Amino acid sequence: MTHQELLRLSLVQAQALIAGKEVTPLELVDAYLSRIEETEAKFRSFAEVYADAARSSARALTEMQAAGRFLGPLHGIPVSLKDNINVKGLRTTACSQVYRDNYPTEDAVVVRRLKAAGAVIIGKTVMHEFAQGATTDSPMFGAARNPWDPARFCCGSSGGSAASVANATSLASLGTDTGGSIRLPSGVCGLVGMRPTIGRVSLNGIVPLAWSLDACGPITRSIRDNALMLGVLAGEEPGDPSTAKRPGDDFSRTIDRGVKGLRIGILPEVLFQKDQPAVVAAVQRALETFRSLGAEIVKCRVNRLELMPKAWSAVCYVEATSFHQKNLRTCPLDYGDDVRVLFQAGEFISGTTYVHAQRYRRWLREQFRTLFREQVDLLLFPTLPFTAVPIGDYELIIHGVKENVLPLSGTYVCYAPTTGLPALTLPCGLDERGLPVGLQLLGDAFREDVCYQAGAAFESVFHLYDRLPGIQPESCC
Amino acid sequence: MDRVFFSVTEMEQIAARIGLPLDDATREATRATVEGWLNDANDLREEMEKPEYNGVFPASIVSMEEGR
Repeated sequence: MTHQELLRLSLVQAQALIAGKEVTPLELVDAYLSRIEETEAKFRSFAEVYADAARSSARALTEMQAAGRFLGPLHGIPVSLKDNINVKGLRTTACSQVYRDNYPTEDAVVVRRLKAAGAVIIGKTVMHEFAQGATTDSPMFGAARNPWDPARFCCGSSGGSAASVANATSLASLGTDTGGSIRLPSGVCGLVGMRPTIGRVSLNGIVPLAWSLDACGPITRSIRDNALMLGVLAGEEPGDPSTAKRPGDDFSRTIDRGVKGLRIGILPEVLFQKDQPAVVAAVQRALETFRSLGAEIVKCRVNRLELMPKAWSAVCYVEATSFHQKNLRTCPLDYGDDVRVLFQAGEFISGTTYVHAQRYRRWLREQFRTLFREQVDLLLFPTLPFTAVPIGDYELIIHGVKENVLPLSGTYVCYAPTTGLPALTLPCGLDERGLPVGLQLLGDAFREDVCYQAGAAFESVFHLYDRLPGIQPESCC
Repeated sequence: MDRVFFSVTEMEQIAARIGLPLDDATREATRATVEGWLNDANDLREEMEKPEYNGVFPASIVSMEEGR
């Protein structure tokens, strides 16, 4: 197969061809490394590329394949990691000067699981410094660029991860999500991103932003690829108190159940307050699609949602400031200004405010869980109220009013981290410039399977996995 | 309970007391952020004083699993 043909393969297709010995891990990894070499200067998705180590792993996996041995479902699959995920002996900077000399001595649990399943770690992707921001413009590596339009941002904080998947410089990537950092970049890059239930995936070996809000999950081209990845990552990790006492799961098993009879809820009071018309239109079409596939659309209500961003902020910045407390005193100027402001300000949130916020979170979670028990199987939101904006130009006119897109980006993504529930983003349309619009499905605790089930049904009607910029003939190597 | 705020001078005194260096480049942005968050903190406190929250325990890092 040519490099172009190899790059067009989805993860699931590549897995099948490797299992059938029609493609070798070395051929696949070589295609991706060539693509990185040709396009990285333009897109800046990577903090570091492990070309030699990736080729060496791919060669060893190719020898195993020839001998009929397969490590697991990711045998020979090139995967990238956000630069806050530790790989033994390799630098993890979290895109901050503070961590410029940080060389972990152990793999993160998620990295260990990826390697055990046969994945080839192809490199570390750029992120917003310490995952605290939504522009993926870091003091160390500059701004990551959106493959759909390199003049536009890829949101954040896992912007490099999403950009690398959309640009076909990795077949899947891992991101982290504290306020929306997996779903926002996936949304503006036309990808599928899963923020799993808190406790589903180990956080051991990942630089935290806020322990009680953080989650790690996969970013992929398609729903099936994503379900396969989460199956590798999920499950209790012995000795890790951040994981729930639940075994892993095969999320692909129930993916074809369809949505007939599924109850999909919307919260009319929070929908479409400050959304671009193209987003409103695409999400309304998505609702019609779900209805035509047999789902029931249910209007719901949750009280006191206006406090949610305030509680989220109190928890996030107290925990983040706690983690950075020493470095804020010893090397404050090693932080970028935007991040330093927030971590400094976190020192002034009182302990009682933090507890109020955590009590509100528990209360809010129960409101959502009651909704899931009694009224709906999923809740549907846009992922963002807007599509990708030009780098450095973070103001938009929406309904005649000038809006700063950075606070606006959190409109629909805070529900999942505040309540701890899982949320999946998938593309649902394109705007008038041809930029992707994201749709979000929020599920009950540990019901990622239902998110995937509905996502796969929608994907059978609308998808972008075969239209991503990185696999278009004119962009391929 | 009254809504609680503190002035720029008080913020700087607290920062000095807890050894937090505030540089010129970010001092004003930090002050504005703290002011906004103090307002949010007052809103949260007033909300959580309502009787419907009686008996609600704080969320914790591993609280998504029933019984933990």
